[in-house]
Amino acid sequence: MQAKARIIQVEKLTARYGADTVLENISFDVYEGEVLVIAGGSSSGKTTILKHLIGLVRPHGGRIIIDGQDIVAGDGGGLQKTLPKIGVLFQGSALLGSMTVAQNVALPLRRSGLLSDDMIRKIVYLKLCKFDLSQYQDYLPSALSGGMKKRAGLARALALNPRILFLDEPSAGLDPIRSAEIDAIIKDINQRLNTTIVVVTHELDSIFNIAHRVIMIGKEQKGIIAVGTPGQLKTDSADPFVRQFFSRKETV
Amino acid sequence: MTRKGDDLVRVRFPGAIDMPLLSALSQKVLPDISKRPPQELLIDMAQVPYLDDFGLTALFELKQAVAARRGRVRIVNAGRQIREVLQNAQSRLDGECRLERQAPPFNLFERFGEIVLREVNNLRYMTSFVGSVCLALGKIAINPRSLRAGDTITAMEKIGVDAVPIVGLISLLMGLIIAFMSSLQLRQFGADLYVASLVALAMVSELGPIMTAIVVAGRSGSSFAAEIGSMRISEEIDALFVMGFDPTLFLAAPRVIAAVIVVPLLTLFANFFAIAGGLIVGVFILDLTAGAYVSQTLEALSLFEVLWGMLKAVIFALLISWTGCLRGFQVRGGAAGVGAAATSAVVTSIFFIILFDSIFAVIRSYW
Repeated sequence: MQAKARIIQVEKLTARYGADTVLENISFDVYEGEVLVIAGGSSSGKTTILKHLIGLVRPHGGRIIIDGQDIVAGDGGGLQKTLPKIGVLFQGSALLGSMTVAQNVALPLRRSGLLSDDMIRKIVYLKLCKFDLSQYQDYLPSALSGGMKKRAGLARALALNPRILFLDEPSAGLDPIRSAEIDAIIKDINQRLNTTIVVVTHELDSIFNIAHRVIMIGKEQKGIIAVGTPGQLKTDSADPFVRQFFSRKETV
Repeated sequence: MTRKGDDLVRVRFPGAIDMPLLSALSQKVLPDISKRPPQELLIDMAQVPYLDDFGLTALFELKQAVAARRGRVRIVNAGRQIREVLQNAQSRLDGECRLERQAPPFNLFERFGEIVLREVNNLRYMTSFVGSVCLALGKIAINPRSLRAGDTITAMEKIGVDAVPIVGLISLLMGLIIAFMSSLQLRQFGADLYVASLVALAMVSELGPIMTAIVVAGRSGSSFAAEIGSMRISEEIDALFVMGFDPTLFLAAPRVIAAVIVVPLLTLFANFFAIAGGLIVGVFILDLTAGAYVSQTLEALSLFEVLWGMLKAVIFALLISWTGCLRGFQVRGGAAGVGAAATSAVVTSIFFIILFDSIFAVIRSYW
């Protein structure tokens, strides 16, 4: 894994909300083709990191380089070049409520402006079939269950076969079977398409199931407190909080 | 409870301290103890199997009741669980207990500073939103296909077609009222016919655009803010941004364009209905002929008046749609934020409508 190229470099990122510093001087890399999990306790700043990585929030300090483009510097040109290469699944799926499932998935394809409507229709149908949603193509998101919304959100995030996929709590609020399904989809995408995947989650089962590496964020430390494979963090971490976090199953 | 003079009170709980027991304690036992606090309060816990939050509160209240006389509280026959809970509880109950949010101490300067900073930020955002709407409209002018035509037509229907009945009814009534009120005065001079001129001029150049704009602000301005605000909360706008769409172009532009097209037409409708209202009063109360009323109306109105009213309607439409979308994009927090945005959209729009109408009046007077 380490021999692979770095696709995301985060250098000395500092994030603030008003006067509150959430993250201070954090640096890490994401390697091409890996599944990196950003883990940590509640309100430790996991989602904040994600929002910075996808350009929704400008950092207070530091640099974020994605596939050679600095997405922080300048007038946002780097970010605009980067956005077509990434897909994002938001925590609540963020499907547009006024559009059908198929129209939602078609959005990124239409945005590119390169394909005819007929081609887009076919591609969307194929994507939906892959996620077992073909019979729901003309449903509005409000008529879907939580698991279906997540799958539709994933289908939309993957519409352009992005090089990097960002997932915010992909299995939050789902039953264990649905969570396992989402995990299987994530692994499959990673293996088949060699997509780099950055997942924010604190679901231990998911972490052990999908993660190649984990970055652990500490709330008090306002930064990274551990990096490694889930197994390493569970047994070898010097930080008792990290060991406690990863051993929850044994202590319950 | 048994009392031995002023020196000793013995309280024995009959079982686990639950809500009914705590309520009985506070109604019967506590007032008695507070009235005549003993030197020593003996609490017998022999029958109490365990201690939870109700039990702890009971003990705390009893302790407070004797505190006035610096009485001593002795808890006897407590089991292991109760002793453990008591040991851990002391520090917790010594802390502050409150249900209400504690407001920070009031500081005039701090508060003033906060308001100034908030308003400066608000103004900055408002200005930048003017820019981003202009940019979006510019992009559409260069590449008309970037306008979401379907959304624009839906918005036109919602702002315009759906508002026709209410705008028509209000304007008809306005026409009736103006005609009726003015006829009371004009009749004294035998100038009944000029009721037609008054209704036409007042509605076409002033009241028609304003009334229509206020109805549109209440119906559509608030709905823009609520729609866009809920999209903000459910991260739909973030999703649009990440997919490479410009949220202003995607969401605000169709609404602004729809409003600018539809509100002037709605104003024309309003004028028509108001004149009809005036006609009803003219024909049935003032005994004018319909022909005389209509020809007097046409004589009073010039094309300039009609166009002036339409120009106002265009500006009001811009203000309403811009404010509604702005407030929607500004939503933070949850459902309460959406509600506040909808209210603020209406209030701000009406303020801007009146402000710009006064500017129009000043321009007109120096014309």
